[in-house]
Amino acid sequence: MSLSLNSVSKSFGAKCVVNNLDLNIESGDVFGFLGPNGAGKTTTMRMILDIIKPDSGRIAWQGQPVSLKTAHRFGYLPEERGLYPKMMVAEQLRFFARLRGLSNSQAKKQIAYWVERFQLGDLAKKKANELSKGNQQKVQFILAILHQPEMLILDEPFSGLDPVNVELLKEAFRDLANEGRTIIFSSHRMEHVEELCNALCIIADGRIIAQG
Amino acid sequence: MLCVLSLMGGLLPRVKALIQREYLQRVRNKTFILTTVIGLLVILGLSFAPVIMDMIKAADKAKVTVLEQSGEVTKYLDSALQDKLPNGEREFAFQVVTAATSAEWPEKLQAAIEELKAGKSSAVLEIAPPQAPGGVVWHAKKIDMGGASTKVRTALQQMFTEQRIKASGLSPTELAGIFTPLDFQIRAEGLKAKTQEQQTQNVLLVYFLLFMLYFSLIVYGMHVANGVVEEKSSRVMEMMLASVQPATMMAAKIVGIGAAGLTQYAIWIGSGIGLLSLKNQGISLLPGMSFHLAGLDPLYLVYFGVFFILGFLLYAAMYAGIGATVSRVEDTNQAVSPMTFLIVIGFMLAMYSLFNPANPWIVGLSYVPFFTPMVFFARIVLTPVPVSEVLLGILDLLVSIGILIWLAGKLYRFGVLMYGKVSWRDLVRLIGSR
Repeated sequence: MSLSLNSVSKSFGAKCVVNNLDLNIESGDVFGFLGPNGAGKTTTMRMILDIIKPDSGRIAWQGQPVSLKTAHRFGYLPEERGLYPKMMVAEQLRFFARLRGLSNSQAKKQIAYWVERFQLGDLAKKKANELSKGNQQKVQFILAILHQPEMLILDEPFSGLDPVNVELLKEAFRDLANEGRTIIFSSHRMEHVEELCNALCIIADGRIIAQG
Repeated sequence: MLCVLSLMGGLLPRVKALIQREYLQRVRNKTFILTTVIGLLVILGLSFAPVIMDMIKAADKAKVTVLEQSGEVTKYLDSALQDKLPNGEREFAFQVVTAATSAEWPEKLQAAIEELKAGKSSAVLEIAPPQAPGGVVWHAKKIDMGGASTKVRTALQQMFTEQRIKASGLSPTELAGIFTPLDFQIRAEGLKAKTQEQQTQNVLLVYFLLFMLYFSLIVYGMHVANGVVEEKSSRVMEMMLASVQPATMMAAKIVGIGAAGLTQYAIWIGSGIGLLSLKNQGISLLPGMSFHLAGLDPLYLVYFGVFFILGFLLYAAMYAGIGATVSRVEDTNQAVSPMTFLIVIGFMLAMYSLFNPANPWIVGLSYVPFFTPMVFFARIVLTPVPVSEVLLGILDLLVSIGILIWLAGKLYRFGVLMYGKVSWRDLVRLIGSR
């Protein structure tokens, strides 16, 4: 049992966003998180990363309560994602590599590998706001996985991509899963979840309504 | 202890990356480079201004044609007006035209005025013309204020007064006694400067540095707010939250931007002092007033540095906290207007304190942290402030900075994830929550 959420609740003002949620995700699982907009998926993910604290309940990763320290071992692709508009792609990659705690040589290796794999070579010298949305999203995906995290948390990773890029991303996704990394991802597209994950849950209004 | 160290081990390279990004992004920015270069040109211009002012003044040479009956007045003026231009030449050159009879007068006047119109002379002076006996007429192509005509008038006034007194029968010794000027000395008590000149120097220094402080608080405060809003509006903020805490991001941003600001000032102040010591001449801030390096107490620069850094930290924390509540770039200006307002008030108070540094209101208000950096600095340079009070002012500022950074950190932590409009009530609720 690697990630566990025990009766976790969170409200914003009077609105209860996550209500007494219990969840266990095994190491190496690819876990699909389904639900309509506003169901509490993003809030749950933010709590796992210790970006926001739950009002009550416990969240633990390999027995330790989650903190910024455990979050360093996670990779996070938020739903609200973006890049520094006026910074060169190559610079952003290097900056985020350092922010993720990589040494220079590790960073170089990882960046070279992923830029090559996602066919971003010609774009490295461009500013982020000159990139198409799909290419920006590929860069953002790289930023989330540069540091080879033990667990990946991807919020709507496929939204807004064309079919070619969806395939490219899925392939990377499967490779990461095959390396034994735990992956949690949210989507509102049933077919992506069916195709990629081996465990899933459906939440609505902050409660689990189906699991399996 | 070990735990803290290991946490620091992970934190430090990340903070370094953040600060470096902030710093390099500012310093490489075209606007930054441009303002630095323009600032350098202004400093260069100011340091050469005395020379340029001299050249401009040298063009003010006055050639006066004096039309009179005897030639006595011209001789008097020539000996009385010995004013020199900066280039060493005499300011006045008198040329006499005598008209013994009133019949000759109009013709000679006409000729002199033609010369004036042709630009061969700069003024024609009629002494006691037939149409106005006992009077003087000054003909010139312009009506000048306090220039050559005033000097000539004062000299003539003196001459006529002397003549009139002589006519009344007083001896030259008695006359000299009457004209001995009163010995009137100005000694400032309770001010640091003992002489008028030194006071002028100090006021100039404070004025100049205050303006820099005012300018940089607004400019770099806006940089901080814009930086936060840019990260929020571009949604890059949340990409970073898994690696660093919002408070760390805020601190790194403030340090990075502050370092960029200090770089700019180091370049400006460094080249300014360099030029001053090279030329060994003053920097002219206003025509006729110049600022000399010799009058500069290095301690003032230290105080300036302290208040510059503390003032920046205080306002940067506020700009960052407020910036974190804004989601759209367009809303930034409106959201930060209260701070801009505070800075403007502080600047006005400091300007007022230039002339009344010991005013009890100024002394009291200098302890209000928002005004301390500017007003306290002015007080220190202009009046003798005991060291204990200076330390109290700095301590007051440090405590306020601590409180504001704590508040801003809270706003930042919640604000960075909030998109959409944040009301004042939300702000109060955020600050109140854990």
